[in-house]
Amino acid sequence: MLFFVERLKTAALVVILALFALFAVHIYKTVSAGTRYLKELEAKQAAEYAARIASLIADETENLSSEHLENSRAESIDKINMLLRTFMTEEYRYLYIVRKNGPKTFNILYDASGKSDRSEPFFPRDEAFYDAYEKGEALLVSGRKKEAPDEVWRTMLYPLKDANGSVNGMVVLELSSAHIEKIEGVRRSLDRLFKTAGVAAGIFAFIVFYGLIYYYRWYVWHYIDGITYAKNRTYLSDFMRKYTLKSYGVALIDIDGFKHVNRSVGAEGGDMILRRFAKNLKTMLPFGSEVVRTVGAEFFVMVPQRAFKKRSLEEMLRNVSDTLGKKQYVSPDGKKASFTLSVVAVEELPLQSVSELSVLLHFLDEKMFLVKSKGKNSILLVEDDQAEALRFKNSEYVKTLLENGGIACLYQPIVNMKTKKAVKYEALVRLVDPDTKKQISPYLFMESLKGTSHYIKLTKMVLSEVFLQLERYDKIAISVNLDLSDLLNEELIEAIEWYLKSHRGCASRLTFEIVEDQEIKDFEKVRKTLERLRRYGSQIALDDFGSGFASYRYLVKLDWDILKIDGSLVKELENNTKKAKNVLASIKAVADLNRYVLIAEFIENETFCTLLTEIGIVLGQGYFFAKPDTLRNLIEQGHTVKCVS
Amino acid sequence: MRRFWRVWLVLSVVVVAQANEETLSVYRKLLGALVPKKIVRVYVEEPKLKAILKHSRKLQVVDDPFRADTAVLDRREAYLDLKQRALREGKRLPLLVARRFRLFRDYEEFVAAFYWKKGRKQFLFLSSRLKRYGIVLTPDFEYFIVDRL
Repeated sequence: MLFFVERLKTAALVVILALFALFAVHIYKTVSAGTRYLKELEAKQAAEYAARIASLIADETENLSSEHLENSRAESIDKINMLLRTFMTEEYRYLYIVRKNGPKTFNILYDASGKSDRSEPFFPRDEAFYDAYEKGEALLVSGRKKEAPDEVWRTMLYPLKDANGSVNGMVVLELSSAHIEKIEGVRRSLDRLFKTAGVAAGIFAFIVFYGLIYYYRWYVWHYIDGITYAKNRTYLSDFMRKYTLKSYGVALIDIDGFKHVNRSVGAEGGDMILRRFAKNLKTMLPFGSEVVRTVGAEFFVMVPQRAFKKRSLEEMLRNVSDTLGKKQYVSPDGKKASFTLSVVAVEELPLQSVSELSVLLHFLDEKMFLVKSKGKNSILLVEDDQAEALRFKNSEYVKTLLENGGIACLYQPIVNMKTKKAVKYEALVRLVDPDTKKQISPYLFMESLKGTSHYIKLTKMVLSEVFLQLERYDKIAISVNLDLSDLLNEELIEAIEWYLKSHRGCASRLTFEIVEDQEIKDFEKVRKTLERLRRYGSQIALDDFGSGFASYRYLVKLDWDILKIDGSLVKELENNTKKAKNVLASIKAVADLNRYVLIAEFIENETFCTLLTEIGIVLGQGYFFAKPDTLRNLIEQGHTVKCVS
Repeated sequence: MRRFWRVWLVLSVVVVAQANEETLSVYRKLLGALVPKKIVRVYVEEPKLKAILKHSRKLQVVDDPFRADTAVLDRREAYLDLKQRALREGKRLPLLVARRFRLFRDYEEFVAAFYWKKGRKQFLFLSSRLKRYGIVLTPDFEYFIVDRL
């Protein structure tokens, strides 16, 4: 969603800029039109002006008769010059009256500037003068010609005709460029502004264009897979960091046995098939979907959830599997290949879902392993509650839960199967969702906290709770879980030591159950750490004995107080009673020899109780006795545990 | 601020240079038409015009009018002085170009005139004078040749 919001913001900005540009163009056109109108108005007024001048001259010269026009008496000339002068305003550059003298020259008879010599030939250098004079028609001439004066915008030529219609002279009224410049002032400024803006826009457009090309090349290099032309992992990783997959359904699609396909059609043929597959996959998915090649013949797809209104993700993927899985591909050299698909899909990723690609892919890979191990060519739709697990892969989210919701400790009793009395309680930590108050199993969140400072914080919180209970109930014993890797964390051990030291009185009622999460490499260090934990009277139990690394070697190398037999061994009592009994009996013997207290886990029914007690294993833990519950509830049962069948 | 004045100065120089270039071009053409030589020696009375014409490669501005092929004069006094000197020293007047109509009109020795009128370039030649000096002008100047004033 955020992805599209970002694009929408960009589009909105572009629209606003475009509207602004249109508005600017509109202003420019309006101003230009206004200026044009004013200029035309000036030109029109010039014609009327020249006519009025002609009319006044006519009064002075007996209706423009040749004789009177050419009157060379000084006072007459001065009078008319002065008359012309009164007509001079800032709009006009020159105002004079000419008479043609020969085929190409004129003489200036009267001049508003008062400076003319009548004998002086005047070469107007404009055909319009001759045309207007000969035709006897008023003419408005543009000043844009080559030989036209720069200071003149337009020239009004108004022939003076006598009563007979003969042209005896011509009023020349030249409109000033400077005056028109003033009218054009605003338009010219806008013109300059637009030209500058145009140049700037051109440069900007060039930069943008070049930038787009560069960005496109970078995008292709950075985000496009070179073989299939689908998106690549980098794209997906960046997408997840910037946006969220919350509004997408996702799936991992793996081409089954593509190694064999490659072998049969060759590398080039294999690449071509992958390319076609990716292309076909993209076309089969709804608009807004993305296909990402993660590795080899594996593709990650994301489909917008709005598409699920028409068809569910499972239906879409089934269609893909049926279509592309059954399709036969032909390589360039004519070899044929076909394959099936294994698919894992999650229709809705949980809120606060993981933002790291590797974690998401790891989760999907785990599910893919299940699909493949069941025979491939199938689709697994991850249930919502399973998908929920993804939320807890997000370490930041888990830390927030720890900060805001805190923890709750449930306890499960370790029971004497003969007396049915609880001898100890194993503390089982849960995270509490601050909003829903739901308790979250460590199976979901513990991995996200491991290796962080919040893991130490969690351990401290558990110890605080446990010691609180030990002090509240002075007759009970509690065991807490620690991993082997925790024993190598000096900061954590120091914190535990502090608690033991601060609660010496009840430290002897505390047992540390060591769960092996890795093989011990430094036995000496582990031994010394266990000694430190024992210093205040606490006991050490080896958890899950009989599975994983917890082998007999540990019994030799380290000192234990308690052995907890792994539930998987105890479970075998159901299927391989005799063998299991023998093995368990041997463990009992080892325990007896080394004086270990022995506890059997996973007691689910009375049969287990009976069989174990036959062997001599007296202590047990499991749902048969009680499910994890609050200590208060368990204590209220009075250390007597109801057996649950 | 300094940058502004520098830019203004440069622009002014450019504008002035353009105006001078036009003047130079006109005189180069006119004098070249009157004196068919590669480099025309010219005496100029008016100092500003002199400063402009000095930049021409086809015109060589000289201080002695009698060493010039042609002289461009503004004032009547300048002409009279020149004529007197010519008479006194027994030297020949160069071809004279007037920068005012009246100077051209009043004295026969002026073979051409150039000035501005109503914003327009005005050349003026009298056919009789051209004939006297044996000058044949290029077609560009034919428009400005009159038979009488």
